[in-house]
Amino acid sequence: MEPSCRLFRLATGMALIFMAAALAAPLPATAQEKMAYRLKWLINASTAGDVVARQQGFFSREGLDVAVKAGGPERDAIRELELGYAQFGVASADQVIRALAKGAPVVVLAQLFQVNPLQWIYRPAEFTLTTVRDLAGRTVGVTYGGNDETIMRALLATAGMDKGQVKLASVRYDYTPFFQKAVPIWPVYRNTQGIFLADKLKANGEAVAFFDPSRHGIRFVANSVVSSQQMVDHHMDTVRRFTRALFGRLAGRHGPGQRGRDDCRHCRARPRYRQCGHAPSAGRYPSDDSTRPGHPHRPHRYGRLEADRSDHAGPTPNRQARCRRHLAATASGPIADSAGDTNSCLMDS
Amino acid sequence: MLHRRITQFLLIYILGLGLLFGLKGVLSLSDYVIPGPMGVWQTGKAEFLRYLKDVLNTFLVAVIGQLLSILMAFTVGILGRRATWFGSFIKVAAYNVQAYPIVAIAPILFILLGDGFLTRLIIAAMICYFPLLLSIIGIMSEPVSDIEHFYRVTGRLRWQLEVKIRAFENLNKLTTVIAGSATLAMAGTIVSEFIAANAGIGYSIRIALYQSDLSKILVALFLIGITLSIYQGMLELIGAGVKKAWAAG
Repeated sequence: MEPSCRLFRLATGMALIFMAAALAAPLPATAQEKMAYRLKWLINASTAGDVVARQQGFFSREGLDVAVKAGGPERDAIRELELGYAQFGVASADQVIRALAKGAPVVVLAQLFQVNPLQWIYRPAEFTLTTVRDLAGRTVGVTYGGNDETIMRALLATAGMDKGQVKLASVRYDYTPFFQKAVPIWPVYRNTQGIFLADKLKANGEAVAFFDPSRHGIRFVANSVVSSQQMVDHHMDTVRRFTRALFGRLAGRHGPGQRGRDDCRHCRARPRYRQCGHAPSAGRYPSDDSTRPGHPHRPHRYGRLEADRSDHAGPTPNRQARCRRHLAATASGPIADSAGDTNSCLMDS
Repeated sequence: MLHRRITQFLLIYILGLGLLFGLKGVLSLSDYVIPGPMGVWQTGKAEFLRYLKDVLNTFLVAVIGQLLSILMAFTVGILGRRATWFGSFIKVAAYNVQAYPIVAIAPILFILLGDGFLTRLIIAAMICYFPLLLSIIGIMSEPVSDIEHFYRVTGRLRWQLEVKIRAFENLNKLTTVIAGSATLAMAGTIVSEFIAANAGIGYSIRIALYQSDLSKILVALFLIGITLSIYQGMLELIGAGVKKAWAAG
């Protein structure tokens, strides 16, 4: 055999051995589980918690590599869950109801907005809206097909008003008709659009007021954190870690290793509050005591926790001193371990 | 021609539906993601008349928009057919207008002109116009040497005759382009309705999307498709008729 031929065979043999070894070797274990979390809407103030959880490494500390993906009008987290493009998502209550009605295997993990932040903005200098009947004869903006249409129709029905008494005008994201007063009562999300619209009008010397449906008997929840039934059935541990990362740490004192319900005088006094759904549990709507008005662990209407408000009874001198110390200590430190205390201290201050 | 268009559309629509239902079955998807055949049928029965009115509303705007864009494209095409400074200036200006994506301009148009008929018309015409312009400039810039030569050497070639010769010799191409642009005009109108208008099938599709109701969207697609097929078939018939009349004349 020619030496060059022998060399070629040797080289080929070694290459095959290396390839076989490479294929046989176990793949390096991925350090973190990759997840996609589809938000309901674009990144804005209402998604601050999700962004903080990602940026501050709450997910990675739970062994999850979560891609927080912005939502939008054409995005539907529930569809993405079912098609496997996302493992977690945020969906509005009307979406969840429709999906469940059509047999979608969706599970609500937590209710972010206990009260829908959807309200109607108007200029109180022009008129005031004290009751639903004050809407009579006025042009009210609604997004046809959106939950504001449902809410407005429900409001009108509760007041015994019909379509002819209120002119419903179709609106989009262009606020020109509101600025021009063509549609003087405009639907906004109080926590986002409501803020910048109010600022804009204020800069123009105009005051604004909000017509809140929940004050007139129409209480409708909004965004929920959802996942698929399959995730809950087969990857419960991942679901737990995800919710712990998203809520446990953001809730601060209810997170692992932090001051929890056992320290809460309300929960000590009333053991049934210990099951409160404030740290959300999979597959359950937060319909227990914690959602009742007045309960200290009742999540704030826009996701802020009422429990974060200075032990529920206003800042005592001791607490004020503690807060001063705490804020000083965490001024340059990470938020992760102290978010709840920091928030509550900031609120107290 | 007409029946061929309708048959082609029905075939494509049924194939598309079959693919969706197949996916639904294979992946065990719920009715929320892909509705079942009965769901689509029920929605079709419930929404047919309302959606038909919406489609006709959109169609009317699309036809007017298409006529407008044909007019614009022919004007620019005829003016820009010569390799002169003015011709190239017209061409460059016409191309530059198209450089801005219409979806970016549309919200500004809606703010300035409101969400009524005019805005939808302008957007439909703008979306439809550019492909038409490209074809018409191509056709009008290319001399039909065999025929034009005779008129040129006899000194009888005026611009009207030149345009007529080039149009006649490329009538098949023109008919295809104009029939094809009907789809663009319809798409343009639907896009504008989807973005901001408060009428038409694009607006209804948006509401259906809000309600995550794919059945309604499938019904809307059927009505849009069938209307366009009929319209395109008719345009082709008209094109054939015009050619016959010109040839006879």
